[in-house]
Amino acid sequence: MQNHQRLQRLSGVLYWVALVLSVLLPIIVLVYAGQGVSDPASLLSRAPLVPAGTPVTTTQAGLVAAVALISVLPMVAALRGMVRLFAAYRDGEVLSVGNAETILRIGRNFLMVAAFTVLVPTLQVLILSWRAGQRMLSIGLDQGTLGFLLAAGLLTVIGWAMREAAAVKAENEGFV
Amino acid sequence: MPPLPQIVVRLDVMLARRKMRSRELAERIGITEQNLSLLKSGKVKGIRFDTLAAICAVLECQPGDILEAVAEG
Repeated sequence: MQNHQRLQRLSGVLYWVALVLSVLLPIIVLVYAGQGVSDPASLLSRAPLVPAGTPVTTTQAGLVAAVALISVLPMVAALRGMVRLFAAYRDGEVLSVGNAETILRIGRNFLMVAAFTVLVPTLQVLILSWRAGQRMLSIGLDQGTLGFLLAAGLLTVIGWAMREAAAVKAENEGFV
Repeated sequence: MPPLPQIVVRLDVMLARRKMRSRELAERIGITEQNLSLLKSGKVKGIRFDTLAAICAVLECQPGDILEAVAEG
């Protein structure tokens, strides 16, 4: 019972955090993308691998912005999933098939976030260095990416376990 | 494997014999009247041993007096 109350209380707080982030994140990326398009040369400061002085056209800046905007979609989808999950937990609905499916969806979105963390900088460097004398392809795997991969795996396993638990609960409810 | 018999709940019969109302039984064994009604109509997947034991204790009977296996067909 105490766990249930704690779960509802913390979920009530996390619901608002996830909701605010799900709104703020696309806005922040949109602002950065807009800055990049209006001042293409400024993109080079955020891509240290591309040689300084490399000419950047508006088209290139637009492509980099488009890639950034697309790459934020899985994270926004994951945050929207968290909003739904925390709302259900806050309202006392803990063990349900719907929540298990939401956890699995969040896990899948985290997997896409991890993939985009590797692919997006690679693609952006390639776009920015397209007109340079030498095109560059840079692939990096950092701790953050590994963390997202692990979180995605963990959420997938928890989602499957929750699905089992929800089925057991449904079965148990048929007994008096 | 032979066809499985259907388990029929004969709680109504025992309640009539003991001249007890469903509401009283539900209160004494600590389940809701709604759940007892579902049990009486056989619309449950199963009955827990502790519920069965409580019913037997209150109605002073054996599980076999409440549950009966009836061949289907």
